[in-house]
Amino acid sequence: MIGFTLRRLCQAVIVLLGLTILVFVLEHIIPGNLARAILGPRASAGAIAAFDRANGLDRPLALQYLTFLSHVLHGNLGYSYRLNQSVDSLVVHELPNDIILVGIALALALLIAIPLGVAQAVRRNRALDHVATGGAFLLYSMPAYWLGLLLIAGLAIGVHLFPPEAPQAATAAGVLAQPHALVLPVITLALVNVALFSRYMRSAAIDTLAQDYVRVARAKGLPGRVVLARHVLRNSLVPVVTLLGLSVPGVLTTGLVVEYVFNFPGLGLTYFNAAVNADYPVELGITVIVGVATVLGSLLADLAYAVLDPRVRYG
Amino acid sequence: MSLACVGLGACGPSKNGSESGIAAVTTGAGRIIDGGTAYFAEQPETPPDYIFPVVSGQYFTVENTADFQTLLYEPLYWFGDKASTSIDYPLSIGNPPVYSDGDRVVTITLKHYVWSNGETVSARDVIFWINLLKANPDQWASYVPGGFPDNVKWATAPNATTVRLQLNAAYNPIWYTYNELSQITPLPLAWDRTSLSSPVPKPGSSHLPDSTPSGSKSVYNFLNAQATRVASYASSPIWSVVDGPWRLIGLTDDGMATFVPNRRFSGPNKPRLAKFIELPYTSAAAEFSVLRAGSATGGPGSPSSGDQISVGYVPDNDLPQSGALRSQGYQLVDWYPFQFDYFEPNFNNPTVGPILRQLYFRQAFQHLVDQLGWVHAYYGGLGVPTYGPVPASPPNPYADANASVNPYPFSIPDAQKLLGGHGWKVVPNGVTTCTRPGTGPRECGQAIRAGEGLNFTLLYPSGLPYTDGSMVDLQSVAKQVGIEISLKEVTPTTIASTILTCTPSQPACSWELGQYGAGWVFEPDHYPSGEEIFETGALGNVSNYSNPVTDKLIAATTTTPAAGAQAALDAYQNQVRVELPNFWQPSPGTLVTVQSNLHGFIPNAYGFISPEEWYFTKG
Repeated sequence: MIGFTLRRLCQAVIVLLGLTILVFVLEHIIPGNLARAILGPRASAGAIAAFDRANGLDRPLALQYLTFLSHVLHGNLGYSYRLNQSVDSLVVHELPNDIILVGIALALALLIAIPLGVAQAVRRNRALDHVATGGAFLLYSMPAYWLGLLLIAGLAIGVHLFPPEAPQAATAAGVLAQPHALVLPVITLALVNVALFSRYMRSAAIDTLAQDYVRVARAKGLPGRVVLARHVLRNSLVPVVTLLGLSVPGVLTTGLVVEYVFNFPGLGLTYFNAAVNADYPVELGITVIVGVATVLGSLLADLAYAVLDPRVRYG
Repeated sequence: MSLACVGLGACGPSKNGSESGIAAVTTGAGRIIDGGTAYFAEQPETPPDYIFPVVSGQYFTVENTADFQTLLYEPLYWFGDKASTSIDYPLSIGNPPVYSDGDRVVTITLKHYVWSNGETVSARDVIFWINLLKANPDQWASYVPGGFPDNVKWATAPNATTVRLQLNAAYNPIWYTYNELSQITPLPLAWDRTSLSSPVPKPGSSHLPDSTPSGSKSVYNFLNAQATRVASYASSPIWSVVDGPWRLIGLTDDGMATFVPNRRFSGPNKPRLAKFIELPYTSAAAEFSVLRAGSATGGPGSPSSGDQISVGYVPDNDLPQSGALRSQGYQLVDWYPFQFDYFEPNFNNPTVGPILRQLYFRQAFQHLVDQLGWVHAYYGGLGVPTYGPVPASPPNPYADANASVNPYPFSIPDAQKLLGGHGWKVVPNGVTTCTRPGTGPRECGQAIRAGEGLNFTLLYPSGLPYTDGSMVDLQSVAKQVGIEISLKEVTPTTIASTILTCTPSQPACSWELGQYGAGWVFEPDHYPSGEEIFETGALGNVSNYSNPVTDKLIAATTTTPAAGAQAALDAYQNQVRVELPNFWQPSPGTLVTVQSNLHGFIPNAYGFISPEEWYFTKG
């Protein structure tokens, strides 16, 4: 087991190195003059040279990369030359916002989607199933951006039930202290995920309901509710759990749209803006964070499989 | 010795009143209330993040300068108040400058202003600024080699309220005041140090660090390092010394800036508001949602931030909904900065450069730009056409009578005629080709080959609906005279790093036509002369335009004595208007929303905000 873990750790380090090299090189081969893009068309040659010098852009690419790597290993993710703050402070400030928003939305989505999917499976091809399927397709095909704007138009502008913005507090505690302002962004994210999860849950539950052990449980005289809870629900959750794991990087991608519509600063939007504005340190820093999280998640999953299934260790 | 009365405001009222129509919008009945909090919407994802007025290019944004720094640190001269394009001497620290010795010496006297630490704003504070710029020109976004402060041979402070500058040549006093002295912001001596632990200099201290170039570099490095600590701005012993009407008491990581009045402010417009807060937004859509859902009435006892925006803006995409905002009670105010707008030909492009260098071709192409149609169809009516380098709008004393006359009105037949008359076989909806190469008067022109077609690639920035629409229209119209335009929509950053000055042999010269999506705003150079954009080799001359006649006329605008300054400016603008160093297109405006009971907001011609002039009313 130790050998397996070491091997996987080595692979993880290689993947991370490859990721950073790839992003670093891609950023630096983009045509055009970066300093000019940042400083504007009126910048003098001296100003451009000073900018390149200050940011190490006048050094060979390999040296720039090694410096970046050295800084990362010392916990320094870089400095944004547009936002005038360190990438570390951006991450510390904005990541909690994303975790709160996406965390609550995913929890809500699961709370709705799991029983809904099971109910649809049990009442397959009946009115509830048809209505829920239609609703799921409608929500899933609707861009989160559009859904968010619709909710704002109806519930914030129309009836003034909720504010159109997410909480504007500077701390996670402050954000949680304004639950009414979280309602619309959370609903937006949750509804899209309900549609996704409920479809998977329905399919898995239909499969499970057809299994022999479910028939046996029923034949033994177990009440329907117990069969559903003990046998159908638990065994149907596997694909949903996998899907949940895959949606962790969605903290960035899914959150972006909601951050944009509901004025909720988060890493997704910061990453997007960094890409659009050629703020390379921010792009690289967030890439490292997400890369580490993804690789670590994958590593933990592999280790968990190895614990559960000895064949993986020796395969 | 000649003495010149500089600045139109100093010589009497400007010939174009600028308050009409605007003041009426924001003047309402009701009792004036002292106090209340006004909330101001920042542009999306551009929070204030740099406080030191010696600002380098990457932080040189309206949000850092006009919306933030100038609230705290007063420039020597204040421009643009109440939509005027002149200096506002009553609002300025400096009295009108006096030019002598054949316009080679400038003498500036200062009014009695004090810093918040009780010290007087003195001539030494102006010298401090000049010393910092001289030692660190590459860190100053507005620096132009040969310009200010290179053109200052020496600067002295003969007494506490007088600054004297010896210039390296004779300059047009109006130009020098509006474009060079306009860049000065007095800095407190409390900043003249190289560490927080070093003693705080006092007035009269000698051998201050900025007295030598190396010392000035050290001071700059110290202050720039302090400016990277955004979270500590409000509590900083450096940045808390202000002479502006406001004092910063908070700035969050997201960019929410909170100001309260500076009780020691010496200027005439003392703030009436109790607090002024700038609110950050992740998108224009988010800002618009708050406008629509929020309260159109503010003042003491009104809802908190997040529920209201006192002064906001209608995003371009949402202009059709402006009626709904008016129904809510908002006042709507058009804001046109003093600017002109254009898109760029690359005269040095090795392929299409020879075509673009032909004046008849540029004239034909300009005839295809339907400016009035674009304003109506794509700008939501919120735009003004551009016909030359000195815009007629907003009303200003610099534009001559021709400024509002389009020399090349939209006309497809005129474009066809110009091309056909110069050796091109015009093929509507095909590709027009050169059939008579040569340099004669009815031939295509130098370096244009027989059979060469009119094909161009045009780069334009994403995210601007009016640009998107107008460029597609241009493509469609050009097709009707056989000009094939390939549109390429890219990010604004790509535009900024691609549309560059270049020589034909450089790979960077491959761009053909392009536009920044933003016009040329006369800030911080407020006089509409063209030395920074149309002069051969100028930093802003990215189209690589070069014409000795134009260069000579531009030089005259910067050197002619005050008495002949307008004539020189007229000669320049008439030349450039018809010469077409770039293609004119409409300048977009901004539709500003103001809460129904907030008054005193009048757009500044140069983009500054003055919340010290705002107040709420009741009843």
